Amino acid sequence: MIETTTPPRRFARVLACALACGLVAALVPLRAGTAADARELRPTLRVRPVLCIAEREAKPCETLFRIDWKSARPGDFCLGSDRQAAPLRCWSAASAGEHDDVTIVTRDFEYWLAAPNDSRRLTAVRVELLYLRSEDRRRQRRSRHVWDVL
Amino acid sequence: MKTLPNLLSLLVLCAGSAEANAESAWRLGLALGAGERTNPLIESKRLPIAVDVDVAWFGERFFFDNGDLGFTVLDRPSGTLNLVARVNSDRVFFGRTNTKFVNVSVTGASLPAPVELRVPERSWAIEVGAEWLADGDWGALALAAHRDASGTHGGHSADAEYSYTFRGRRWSLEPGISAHYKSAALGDYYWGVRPGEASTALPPYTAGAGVNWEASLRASWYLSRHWRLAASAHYERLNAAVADSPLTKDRAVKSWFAGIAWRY
Repeated sequence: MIETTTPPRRFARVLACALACGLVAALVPLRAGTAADARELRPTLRVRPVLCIAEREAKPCETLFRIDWKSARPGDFCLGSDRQAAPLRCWSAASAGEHDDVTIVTRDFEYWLAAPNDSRRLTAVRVELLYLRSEDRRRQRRSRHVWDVL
Repeated sequence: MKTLPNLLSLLVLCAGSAEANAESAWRLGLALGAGERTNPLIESKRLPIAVDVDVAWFGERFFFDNGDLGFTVLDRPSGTLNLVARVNSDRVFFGRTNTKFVNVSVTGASLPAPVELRVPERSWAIEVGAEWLADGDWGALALAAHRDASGTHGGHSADAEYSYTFRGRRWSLEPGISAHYKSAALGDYYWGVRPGEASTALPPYTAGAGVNWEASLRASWYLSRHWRLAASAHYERLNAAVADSPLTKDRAVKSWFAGIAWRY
């Protein structure tokens, strides 16, 4: 019984190993191809607003950012932000996407699109932080000269 | 058309390569647009405003702000006290005047023969004083007092200004109100008519002290951190001592400006 059952088991292991290797071999080019495809798709990214206005540095600038993107063809994309390491959201085989992000802005940063597991940014939009008033009160002086109208 | 970007690049280079959100010691600004300020002086033209240049530098204690030189004495959470040297602003109205012959005096009386109506010369005055700046959720307040240090008019002045800023996602709106006291010596130097300057067309006049009231409105629509669309309007009601002078033809000074502004 042992002699008769061993060859099929060995064959099954070899077959499973071959299948696994084949699968890995097939997947690696597939992932690489997806990243390459995503780069070729050159998606467009839109963020609103691109400016966060705060009264002064001591006051937080909390804003809801509406983000949407489009691509000519479906692909795998991840939306990221300089503010965190992990992607905000990922899409598979999608040609468009939307995401809302509520965040407290403390400095300029970028939202960007990239292929999954690829650090290269396909497109990015910069969000700027503007303080209306400086912590230095002298900068708020209203100059008295006649030409100063602003 | 390349002049403006080149000029802005030069200004940025002068200001140094500050980090994105760090505040540079320099504040440089340029606004281009259309606007004007009325001139209350007789035989004068309105002052066109096509460009508004903003050049300021703020050090630890010393600062330069568009012609004003300052030294910060105190900087506390409750307020900032500065010593300031500045140029008096009344003289600017005397820069664009005409001389002409009239047969009606400024009081409306007919003259027997044409008489030369010449606006008297006035000099710039350097004033020194102190200012107190305070701000908070309630708005911004500035109190200042200055005295002539150049021996030009020998007078003094005091200013009180209050403003509050409303803001939205891309805009800000800042209404303000201010009162400007001018002593009799200051008012009389610029707006009085001395016996040697008087003629049948321009009677002698002694101006007293008074308070000018001013209301202002500044609006901005921000395109980016450095660029914005800006508009402003000011209305300053002259005090009676100045408004009654034969040198003035208007009761108020009105100004407006609208354009695009860049600030670094």
